[in-house]
Amino acid sequence: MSFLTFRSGADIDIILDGAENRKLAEIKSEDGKKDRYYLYYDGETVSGKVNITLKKPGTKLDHLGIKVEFIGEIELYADRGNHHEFSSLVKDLARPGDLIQNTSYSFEFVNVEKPYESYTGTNVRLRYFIRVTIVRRLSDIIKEMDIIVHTLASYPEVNSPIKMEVGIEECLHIEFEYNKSKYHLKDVIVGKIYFLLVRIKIKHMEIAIIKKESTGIGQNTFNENETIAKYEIMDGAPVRGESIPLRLFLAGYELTPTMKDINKKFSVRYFLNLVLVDEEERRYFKQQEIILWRKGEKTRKQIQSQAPQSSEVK
Amino acid sequence: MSTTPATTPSDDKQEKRLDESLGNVKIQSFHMKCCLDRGKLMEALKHASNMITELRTNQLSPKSYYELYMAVCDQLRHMEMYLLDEFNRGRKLADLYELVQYAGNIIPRLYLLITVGLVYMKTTPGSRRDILKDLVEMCRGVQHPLRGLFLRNYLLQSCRNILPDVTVEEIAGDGDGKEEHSGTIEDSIEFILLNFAEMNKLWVRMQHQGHTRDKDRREKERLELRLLVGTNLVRLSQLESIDIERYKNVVLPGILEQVVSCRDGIAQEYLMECLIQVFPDEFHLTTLQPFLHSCAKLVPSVNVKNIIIALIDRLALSKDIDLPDDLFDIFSSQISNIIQSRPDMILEDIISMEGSLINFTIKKINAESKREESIDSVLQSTLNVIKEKCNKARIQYRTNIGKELLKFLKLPITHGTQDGQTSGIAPIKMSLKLKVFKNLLKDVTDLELQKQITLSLLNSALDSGIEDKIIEENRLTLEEIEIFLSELCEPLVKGAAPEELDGMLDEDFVDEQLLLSRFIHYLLSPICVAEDDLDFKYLIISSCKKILAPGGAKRVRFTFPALVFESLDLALKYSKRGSEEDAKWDKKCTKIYQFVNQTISALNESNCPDICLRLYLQAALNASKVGLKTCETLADEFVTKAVSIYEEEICETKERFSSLILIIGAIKEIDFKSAELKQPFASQMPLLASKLIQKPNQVRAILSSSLLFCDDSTISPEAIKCIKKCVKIASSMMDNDLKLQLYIEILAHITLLVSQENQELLEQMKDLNEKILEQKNEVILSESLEKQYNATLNFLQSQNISLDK
Repeated sequence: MSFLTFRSGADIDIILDGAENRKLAEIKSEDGKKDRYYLYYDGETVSGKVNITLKKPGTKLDHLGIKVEFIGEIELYADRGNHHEFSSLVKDLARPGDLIQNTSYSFEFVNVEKPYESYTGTNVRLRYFIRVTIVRRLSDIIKEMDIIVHTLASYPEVNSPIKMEVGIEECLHIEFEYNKSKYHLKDVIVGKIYFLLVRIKIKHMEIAIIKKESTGIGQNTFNENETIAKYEIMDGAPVRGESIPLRLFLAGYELTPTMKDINKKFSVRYFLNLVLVDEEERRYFKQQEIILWRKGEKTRKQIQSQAPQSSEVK
Repeated sequence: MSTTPATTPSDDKQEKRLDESLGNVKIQSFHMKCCLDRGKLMEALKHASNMITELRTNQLSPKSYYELYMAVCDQLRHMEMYLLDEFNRGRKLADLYELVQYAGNIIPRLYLLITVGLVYMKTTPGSRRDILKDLVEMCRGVQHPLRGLFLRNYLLQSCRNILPDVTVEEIAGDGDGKEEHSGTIEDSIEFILLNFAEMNKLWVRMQHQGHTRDKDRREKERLELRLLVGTNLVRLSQLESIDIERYKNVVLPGILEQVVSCRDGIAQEYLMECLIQVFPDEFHLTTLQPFLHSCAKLVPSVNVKNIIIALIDRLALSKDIDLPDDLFDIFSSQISNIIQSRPDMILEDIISMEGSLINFTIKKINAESKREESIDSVLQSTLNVIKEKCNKARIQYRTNIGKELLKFLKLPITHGTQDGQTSGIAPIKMSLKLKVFKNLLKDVTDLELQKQITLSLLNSALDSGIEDKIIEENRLTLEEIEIFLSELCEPLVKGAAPEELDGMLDEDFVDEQLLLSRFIHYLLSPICVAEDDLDFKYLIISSCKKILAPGGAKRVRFTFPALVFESLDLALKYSKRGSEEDAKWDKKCTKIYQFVNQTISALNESNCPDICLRLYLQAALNASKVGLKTCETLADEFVTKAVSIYEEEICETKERFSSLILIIGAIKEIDFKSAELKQPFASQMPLLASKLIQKPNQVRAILSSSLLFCDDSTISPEAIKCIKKCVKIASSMMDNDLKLQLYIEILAHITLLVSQENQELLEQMKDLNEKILEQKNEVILSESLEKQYNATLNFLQSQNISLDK
């Protein structure tokens, strides 16, 4: 593409409004590296400027039109060629004609709906980007710019603790309690594990956060489990009546909000897995789903209030 | 440790593992310090965590683990210092407190959390309450006994200097009304009590893990670790804000609840003693009831006795505090409560527990009557318990219980006496004052054990002797003497005497009887009776006789002579008083001589003629001096008895000779005024003498009896006749050596008489000397004989008597 671009002789730059004040967020790229992009929230206006610089000044560049698009799409890695766009907004910047000099266009997508969170998983990617296309007869000149979207949620109205008694008859009975069923991403899981009956020689106990990503529907569903955190919470063998405290800070782990049935394409769910390991390395476990959500930060308000300011300046 | 391989790791392996771990600690701590120097806290924490990871091992014995733990703790101090500096540079510790909690493994996580938490609390006093609570709670995650114990020890040691030690009132008194105060004593108590309870649970749990065959090793390991648990109590005792009220209402109930409910012998025994040792006496005094009550609830394997004794002894030694009046009653009822509730408790332990109560009584109850009453009640309850437990069997001296009981019985009599006097007559007095003492001896002990007590009483009296300070109130009444001799001394005065072996009595038996006879003299010494209370002395003597007489021949042989001598002494004392002081003195004396006569006659039943003979003579001599009208008749009677014993019962040659000499000496000494009385004896003696079997003895005895015919002024012809007879007997000797010796002896004897000029006697001497000189030519004189002869000659020369013809 760069070869083509070079030949065609025009560079496209996209400059977002208020970029200097906008927060950046990290996201994993497909190859596992971490990229940083500008962070947007649902309903925020995405506006900016497109600068087109001609490689050979003075040379005419003819085109069939210039457009800017705001796209949200889901890529299933198993289905490479097929990108499912769930959001696509187009603005024409120029009618077909010739570009004789470097030109700058402003664009604005007002209060864009961004229903989903940006996500890079094992089998799926959800991304938002802005694409500028100079339509040409043979090959279009295209520039894409990724942005990251975080979906914020308000405090859940119902957030009851998770309480459960599990066991193996005549062997092990425990009762555990996690203080909530829904945690925000910087939350702390506080809990207790009561031992009601212990007839096995337990060596230790740990709690794991497991991410389950499922893609596709029906027979073509792919499930991928990933252990995000493994956390030892007990060393040694407890006796009946012991209660073991649990406190797990979530902020340090790479977590996303729980995503359910995103555009009928994929889901990401989180589970707490309580594992007891005995002296023969047998593992006894119980998984329990927790809902993760992203809490709005205080800085969010600043950004929102700054956005109109910056537009005012313009 | 439960997870260690089935085989016990050998010492070599242990050492190797420990070295490995210590090596890793060294490396990681080095990196940690390097990172700290360069300000890279995150990396330093990572190395610290790696270092602490060594403590996750389950391959080390408690001892090795301790060493490793110490090494790690040392290094964590560096981290602590650094964090303090960090705080001063403005780092937020709250963030750090969260950060270290991301450590995936619980052991490193908690050690780091404690380290950071400590700095947090030091720098932000307002955080103390919450952090303390949080730390002690989070440590629950380590349920492995050894690792948990050391982790919690680290927690306790780290927090020792920042535990709040103020009361709510004190904070309010400061008046600045801070909303977030830095904690009160209540927080500290709660913290330590919880930590203590958890540590104790872990410690107890060690007992129940692993194979039964490792039980001994496990118990040993547990004992090695007990200090870790006990430190909690020590820490509590160091908090100054814990006053009696708080101790009673909060601290002690918390501890006792844990101790009782853990149902583990090792823990209960150690912790109860620990409690006694670490808290002050005042605290124990206020909390005796709950403490002792808990003792009753301990598991059977606990030796409660040690705990009780430790407590009682501790209070018995206490100074500077007033003990409540009812303390004894509390102890007493709680001890019986404990005995009731622990039917398996062995008797030794019960006895030694009661013993410590007596000890306490002696040391701490000052009022005499109350003290005796208390001791009596201990004796009574001990007696009851023994009766109940022994089921009528007597306690044998040669068993452990016997030894314990002996020790117990000696307590009140060796220490329980007034004015700190623990010897002389006082122990005996005490043994009589205590009503139950003799019951205890008579009802449940065997004879041997009882005898040991008797002997110790007698010895304590006799050891201090009659030179002892006289304390009149300690003197025994007649009734007491009778009870003492007949009941407490029963093993010595009654029962079957041992059989003679080859004519010899058992040595111990003889010693005992001699002791008893010494004691009779002691009873009549000024220690026991006023010097001038002669009537009382007489009563004592006759009581003694009544009690001792049934003891049989083998015993009275040793004890009656003492009575005789004391009686004679008494007679002399009466006679010294004379009729002015005591109108009836002569009647009393006569009665005494009758008593003496009876006593000696009774003694004669026991086949000891030699003793009786001597006693009769002694009585005769004594009677002759008392100045009674009848004194010569009395003396005559006693001598007659002596002579008849001589004639009838003494048959051994040597004994006959020496007895005869004694009789002659006595008659001479008595010096009968009445010729009527004297004559028969005087004429009888030479006859008896000449009946002696050996000629030299005949000579010597006749020589002695010759003196009966002389007095200061006259030498009767009979005396000369005797001497002549002696010379004659000597001449008839075959043995020239002996002959010469006898001649010299006769000559020497005559010198006694030369003060009165007697021609016949002089002739005799000259003849004798001639014979001596004659013999001397044939026989060589022995050195001593030569000396005697020369001395005789020198004496005669000094008297201007020449033996030359």
